[in-house]
Amino acid sequence: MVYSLAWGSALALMASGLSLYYSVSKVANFAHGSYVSMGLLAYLLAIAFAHWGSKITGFGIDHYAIFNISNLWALIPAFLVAGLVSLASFAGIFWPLMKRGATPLQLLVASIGLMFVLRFLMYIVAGSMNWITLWTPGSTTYHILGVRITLAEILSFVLLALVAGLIALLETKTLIGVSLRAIASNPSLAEASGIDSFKVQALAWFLGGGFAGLGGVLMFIFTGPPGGRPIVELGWMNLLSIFAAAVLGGLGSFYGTIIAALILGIAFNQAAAWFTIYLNVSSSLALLIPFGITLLTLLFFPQGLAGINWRKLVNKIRITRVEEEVVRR
Amino acid sequence: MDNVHKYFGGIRAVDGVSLKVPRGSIVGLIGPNGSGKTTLFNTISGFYKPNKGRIMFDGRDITGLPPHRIYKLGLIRTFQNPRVWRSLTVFENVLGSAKDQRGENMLLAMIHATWASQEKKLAKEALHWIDFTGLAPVDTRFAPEISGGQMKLLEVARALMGSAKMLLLDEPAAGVNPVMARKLFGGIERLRSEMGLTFLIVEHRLEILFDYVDYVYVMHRGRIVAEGKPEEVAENPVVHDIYLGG
Amino acid sequence: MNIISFLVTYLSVAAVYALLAISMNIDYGWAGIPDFGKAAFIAAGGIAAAIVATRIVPPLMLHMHPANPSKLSFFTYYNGKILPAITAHPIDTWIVFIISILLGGIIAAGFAVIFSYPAIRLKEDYLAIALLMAAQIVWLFLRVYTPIMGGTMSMTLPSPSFKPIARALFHSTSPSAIDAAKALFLWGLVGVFLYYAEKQMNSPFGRMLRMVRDDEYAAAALGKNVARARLESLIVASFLAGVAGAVYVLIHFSSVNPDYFMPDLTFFVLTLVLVGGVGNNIGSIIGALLIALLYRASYIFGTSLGFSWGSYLYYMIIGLAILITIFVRPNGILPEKPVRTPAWDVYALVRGKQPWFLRRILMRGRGKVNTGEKSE
Repeated sequence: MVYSLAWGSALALMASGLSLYYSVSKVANFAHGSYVSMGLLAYLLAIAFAHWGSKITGFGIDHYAIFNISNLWALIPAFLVAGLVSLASFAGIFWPLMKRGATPLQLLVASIGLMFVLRFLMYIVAGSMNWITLWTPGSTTYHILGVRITLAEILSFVLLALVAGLIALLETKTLIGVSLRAIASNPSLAEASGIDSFKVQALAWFLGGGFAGLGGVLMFIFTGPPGGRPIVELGWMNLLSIFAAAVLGGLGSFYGTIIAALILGIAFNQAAAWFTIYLNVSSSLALLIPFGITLLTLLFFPQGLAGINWRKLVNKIRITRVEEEVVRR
Repeated sequence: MDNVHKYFGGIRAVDGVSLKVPRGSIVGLIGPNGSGKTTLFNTISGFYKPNKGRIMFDGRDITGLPPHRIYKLGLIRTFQNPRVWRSLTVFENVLGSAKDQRGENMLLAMIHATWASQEKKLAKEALHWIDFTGLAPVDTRFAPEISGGQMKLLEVARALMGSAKMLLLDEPAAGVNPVMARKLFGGIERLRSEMGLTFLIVEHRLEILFDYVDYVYVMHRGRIVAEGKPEEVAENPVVHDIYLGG
Repeated sequence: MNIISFLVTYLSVAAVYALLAISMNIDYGWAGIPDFGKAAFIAAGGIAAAIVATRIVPPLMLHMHPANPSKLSFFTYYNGKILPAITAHPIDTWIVFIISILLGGIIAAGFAVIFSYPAIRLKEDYLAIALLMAAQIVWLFLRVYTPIMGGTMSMTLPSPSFKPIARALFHSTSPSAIDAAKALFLWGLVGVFLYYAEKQMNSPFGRMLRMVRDDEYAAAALGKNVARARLESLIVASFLAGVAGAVYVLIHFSSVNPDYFMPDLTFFVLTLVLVGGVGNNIGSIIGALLIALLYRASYIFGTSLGFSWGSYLYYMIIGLAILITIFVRPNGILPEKPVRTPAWDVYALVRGKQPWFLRRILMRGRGKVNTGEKSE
């Protein structure tokens, strides 16, 4: 259960990044998976540089890249590299296209093109370090109150809490956060009132890409290479889960996405365990459960969780409770 | 139309509007921005479902019917901001709006013989309406290439092509110069007298509108606050208050 | 490498891509539905071919028991008995092919009816992702659920025999003659697809799809049943996708494996349409020819570089092709044309002149191109 939640938190980190810039730029960005893999590669490269001269190519890196306290610093380059790539793709591709009045569909297709290019660039890096296939390097394990918990699990909770706190702080306390919300709700009005739309969106993309990179490192520590495929495909293999979480949370709703990712994380991992133990089928089929949940939710609430009128629902429940109390008295 | 309500959340955009448009008349609907006129249009034409009330057309209850069914009955609307099909030419924009095209059937589309003669007949009719609205000089242009005023005319031509009995025009004269606008309203009057069409027109340019309509309703904050012949409404102090006091 | 054999292989690959692209062009190009579930519709062809080869043909034509791909004895029985029995007669392989394309088309059209439910309700971004997830579910399901096509164990299929055609055309049954016959047959099929798509779309039906794509509110206000139009375009496109899928499986691979239908395939097909020209059927074919060339050339070049990443060079090429197209020619190489129906004949008759775009085609035929025709 701890693992499921931690997995969900890593997914939440990746998906909330997507959600963050979707809320201001409205780009369903398929290259988001590439930022995830970029984060992972940056983490591995940073550690490789720190141990330059040792056997760091091929599986050798697994020995050094174990996720422990002394390697935590490598998350910073992971965040920065993924964030900067994301920022560059916004400034170089999506912003110019948006200025030309591209349709959402054209932006989406452009992001597919970008995804392919970034994927190739990562293959060059991974290929020349001989890292195309790697195992997960694992993480140091602690026993707290009799519960076995890894550093990566702890960190995924901590990072998710930090990110959620950071965004809450940004949105309420700073001018940037206010402009972020302003652009999300009414772009033309926000621009008319003197907000520099480009700068605010660029910040959202930088943070969004960075979160994806952090999530990528954690996800790799948890699951290793997806289905035994090249590590570069980490982002692509998780892309649909990311989108499932973002869509279920209601595209562009930051906290909705985090909650949705946690729900999907639990659903997926519990289903996977159940599938392998009781049905004796491959755990990859367990993806059916989160995707099924998302598709069903979309059919009934086309705007995802954020589109449900929670206040109305809660009010309804509250009113019936009050009525019950009245009846009881 | 009777006692129509449309709420959005807690906002009553259309709050118990009742109005009547007799056959063969030209009725105006005026009111300041945000008074619910466009919402009312969307409700009549089936884009929104009313929360309460009934909409009757030609003796039939059309409340809650989808837009394409309402169109089939002969009640056709235009849009405030022209909505044209950008990848089609002006000619095709008009032609494609015709009713009951056999070639729109997925299977019959493959068999030319089943729809070619109808298509030719409709093409002649489309050209007639293009001439009528004065769009002939631009009829092979793609729709986004024509001017805003021409788009307004195109919307009217499309509605006429759909063999309308009644047209709901949403600000037909907005962005059209006064001379063109008067010609447009002249055309509307001719359509009424020659073909017996019925019109409900939303318009901000009262000075033009009042010269052509038989009857005027005034909407404010989702309600009808005044009605009457144009001369009466123009004198009505309530209307002055609304327009001057916001 | 022999240049002729390269060309022949390249042409058959491009033909298969062109089939897929024409199907994608109908729902994405004409009707504007971001059909990111295309891989699932193409998989229908693979499912159909597997069902036909294991279940339908053995009892009906060979009087043998059907093979059950979920049983361990499947390979011995299917590869040892059924497959040789079917491939023994060229006619039988063609019967498998014909039943497969029909069944593939029908299964895909059935999927379309199911998928249309979200397609009518969801907005573009949501719909694209929902369909992509649906394709992923279909793919995972095919991998794990062995009774359909044996999971990931790559079932060999009886691909139609081109020997008789090669003998009739080239009086030879050498491998190159067979390949040439195959390429010819595939391009004939592309011709059929193109004829069908042009005929189906240059009609009031095609015009209605464009109306729905360009502005669904206006289309609804002017009497088009938007939901129905979307459903019908999905059915038409998916039928073609199912047929193309059967060709893809039976002729291109002559085996079936769920991994042929990974959701990535959709993006590849999308690239073909996008580069060639959205909404232009001939453009789809040109896109297929161009991208197939780039793909093969970059693959051959990449692997010859000797780096471990060389074989991934085609990612770069495809990615750049998409990006350059979006920036330089957002509508692709060939732009969309007005819908051609007999109405334009009436137009020419009444107005006494051809519309500019038709006139330009006629002029080009006579070797005179006048681009100033647009201003009338």
